[in-house]
Amino acid sequence: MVGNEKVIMVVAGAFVLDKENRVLMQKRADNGQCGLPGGFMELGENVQDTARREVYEETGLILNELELFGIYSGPQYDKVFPNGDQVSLVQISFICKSYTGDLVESNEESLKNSFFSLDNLPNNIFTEHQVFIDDFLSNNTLPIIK
Amino acid sequence: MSITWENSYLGGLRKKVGPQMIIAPAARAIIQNEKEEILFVKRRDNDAWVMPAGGLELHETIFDCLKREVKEETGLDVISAKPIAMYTGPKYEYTNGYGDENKMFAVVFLIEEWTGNVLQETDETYDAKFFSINNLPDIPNLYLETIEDLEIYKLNGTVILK
Repeated sequence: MVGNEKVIMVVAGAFVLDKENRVLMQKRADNGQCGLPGGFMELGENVQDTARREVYEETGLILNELELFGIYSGPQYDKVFPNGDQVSLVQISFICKSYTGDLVESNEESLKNSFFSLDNLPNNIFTEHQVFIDDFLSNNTLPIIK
Repeated sequence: MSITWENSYLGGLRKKVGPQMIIAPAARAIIQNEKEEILFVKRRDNDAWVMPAGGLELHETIFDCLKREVKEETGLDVISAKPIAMYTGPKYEYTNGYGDENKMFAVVFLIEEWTGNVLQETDETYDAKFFSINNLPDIPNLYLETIEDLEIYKLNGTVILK
């Protein structure tokens, strides 16, 4: 109905930290880079449930309490998908330090899920998530609104 | 000058998708004076007292949206603000007065610093007043809820996620 015209879409994701304060990252199936788990919001859920659902689908982990990390929006996060769809993203990210479940090593959405120490992050970080990682490491006051 | 409905992002999108439910990101402003009274403005289209708020446009961040809507509806300039709540859950999916189904995605900001003089009249409003929490006018329940959440936020400083 909207064709290729630009649409605002909401995505949510999370920094999931284990007991050793390592962060969960996934080697993405679409480009092989390492990013944070997350995905598009659906009708019928709140944005923290979006993060929970996406993290579960991509990693098998069931997240407990979430804290708002940041809201990233505006034209600098606009993108065009390979099929020509144009979106303007409103990205909500959370921090989670408590979860249950067993980490799924890989599935259709992620080639590999693993926890990385903050001073030993992978060097092929998903370009679009670099700003989240930088801000996470910066210890700025939360939540970050950009 | 406010963007007209036809020229707004949501107005343009509605022409293509009709009244079906869509996610509508928006910013809402809680503006308090030194007496902690809260600013409400009276809408021309339905005579309701509301907090300054409005929908996200394509070229702006959520903070730009907040500043723009506050400027359009009150004449005030926001210097700094922080989010205190987000209303995004299924409880906030509704049909508006024009028959359109919206999934509210509201980021509620407490304005920490602002300047300027409140305009009594703008394109969208014809009255503006600071009300004490104990002496509120007839306002939709959504704003009573927002005020309650502000009080909860002030106790523990955690953004309320609903």
